Amino acid sequence: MILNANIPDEVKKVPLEEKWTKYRATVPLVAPNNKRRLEIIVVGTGLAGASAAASLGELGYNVKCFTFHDSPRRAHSIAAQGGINAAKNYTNDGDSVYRLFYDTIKGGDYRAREANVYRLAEVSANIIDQAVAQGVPFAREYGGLLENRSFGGVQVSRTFYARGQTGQQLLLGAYQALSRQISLGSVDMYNRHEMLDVVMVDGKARGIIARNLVTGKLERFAAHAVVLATGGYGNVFYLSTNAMMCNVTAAWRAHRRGAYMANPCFTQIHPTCIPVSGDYQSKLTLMSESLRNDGRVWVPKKKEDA
Amino acid sequence: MPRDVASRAAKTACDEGLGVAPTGLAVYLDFSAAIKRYGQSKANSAGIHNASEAQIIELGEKVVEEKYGNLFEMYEKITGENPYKLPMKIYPAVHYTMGGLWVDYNLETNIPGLFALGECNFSDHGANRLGASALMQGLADGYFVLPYTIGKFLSGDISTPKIDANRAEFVAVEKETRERIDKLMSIGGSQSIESFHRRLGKIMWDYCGMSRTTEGLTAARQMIRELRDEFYRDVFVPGKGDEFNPELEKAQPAADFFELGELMVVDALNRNESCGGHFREESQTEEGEAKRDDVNYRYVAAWEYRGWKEEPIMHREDLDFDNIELKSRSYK
Repeated sequence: MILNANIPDEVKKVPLEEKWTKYRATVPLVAPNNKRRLEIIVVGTGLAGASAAASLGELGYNVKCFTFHDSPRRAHSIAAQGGINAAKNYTNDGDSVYRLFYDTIKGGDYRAREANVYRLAEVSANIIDQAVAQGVPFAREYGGLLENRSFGGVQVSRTFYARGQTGQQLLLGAYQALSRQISLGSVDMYNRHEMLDVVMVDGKARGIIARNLVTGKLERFAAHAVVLATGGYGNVFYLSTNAMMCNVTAAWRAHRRGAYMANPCFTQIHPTCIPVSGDYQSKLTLMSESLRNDGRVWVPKKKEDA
Repeated sequence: MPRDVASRAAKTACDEGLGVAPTGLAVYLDFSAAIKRYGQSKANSAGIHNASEAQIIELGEKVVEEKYGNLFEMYEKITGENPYKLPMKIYPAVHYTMGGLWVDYNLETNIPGLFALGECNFSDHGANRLGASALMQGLADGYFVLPYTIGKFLSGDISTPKIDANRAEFVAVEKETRERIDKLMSIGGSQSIESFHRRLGKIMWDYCGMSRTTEGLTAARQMIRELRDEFYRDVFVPGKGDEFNPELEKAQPAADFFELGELMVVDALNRNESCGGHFREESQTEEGEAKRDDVNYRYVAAWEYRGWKEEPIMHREDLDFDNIELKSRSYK
């Protein structure tokens, strides 16, 4: 079967740079009085899950948010060191939305969907504004302007960062937005709950089965829609830079219920990590890619010297 | 150069026997030239015109400390070696997965009402993700995309009453979940969960890691199946299923990783081209560079599960590039 990306016809017709604008102008809306009647389950509280739960709560939906950690702040997004890209062109070095789009498609070796990637490049600039408004302490230049660095071999400086702990600072921002909604009552937070299956009613995802990790009991949760933001599956390799709790279970159980798993062989192996030292190691540590900008990578020329 | 290219360069050097460290699986990341460069520049700006080498190094180390101090400290704590004085040893490691649940433009999977965001979906990074783009995608999906796109599905549900979690569908899935847990608890074998997971990881790393071949992948698929059978025969999960049980928390993901691992191998076998993080030795140029095949593989492979014993079915999403010209990547 050939899959359809479900881009609406009126959006397909317009040029790439107008698609997301057109989509937002034509997508059906849900009125505030109806939002109050609808429930959404969000699984995962990393950057994607926490920001989604907070935003949906703010919009007026009733959100139930789940994490297997003891706090949303333990999500693995916290480990990201280097930074976050945004097509702001603050350094005036010729960056643009199109260039970020182009670099992302090309860097991905032409195996991603144009319309999605362009949208990503487009909203990248909004993310920085949102995070700054939340108080995320991005690095700044002497004059107070946000600083950018070059990252990952691209030709412009578009990476915003907060020392070597950008993920942590962004997660704290998203967590604060989430906490605000929790205290307002629009988000119910379930810590130490691990999702173990999706429940379908008449062909639609309408809930989950979660295990309360403290009591060991299974619990049922229902909603009108289910959102998975449960991260990647790098731990299939056992040794990886992922946290030891990262797993594929939520996504895989959805897959077993019929959701398609796309391009699973596309995995990223990061060049600069601390090497494996022995057979009983359980975790690897990443060294930020920014080191490659200044350090020189070499091996001995002759085998005898290695 | 992107991460996949840099990683493969390190692997190639080590495969040729040029690796350093006792394992032979490491390359140097050396800051001595950078320290001297920064030190000289610092000395110049401080007006020290005949600085000794020791002075230059001292000044340079300070600059490097300002830029990378926390990373150097972390390295020293883990390895016991001072990276200011000795070159660091590094080696590639698994870091991110571009694949994931298939989603459409609305970030909705093929199951209506089920959405996937961030690293969990496959959508934005193709075969290789650029640095500093993971955080961007997670927050874009959560703050700015899903809040709009979920409206498309939910607008059809405004008159649907609250879903009752006591419906038969919920009770049935809960029962299946409990049976799966009971099955794991009842095996009572002799090997730990982590020993199985570690063995699976070794198979994946050796045959479905930085470089992949038809023979290796075919053999790996068989090995994964055998290991999975052994797991269900001989794994030991202590404690009980309905109490606090951190070992059970590891057992369920391990069981799922076996199935995912096999699907990764199936997907890697199907994709007989090299692109991004997926390097098939059969598909390379004479200089050993990755060779993409845009004629036959310019598509997303989305797999449908049909039970452990059945072959998964591949669904295709063809990728059209109307706004960008396809080029081969060259970072020489």
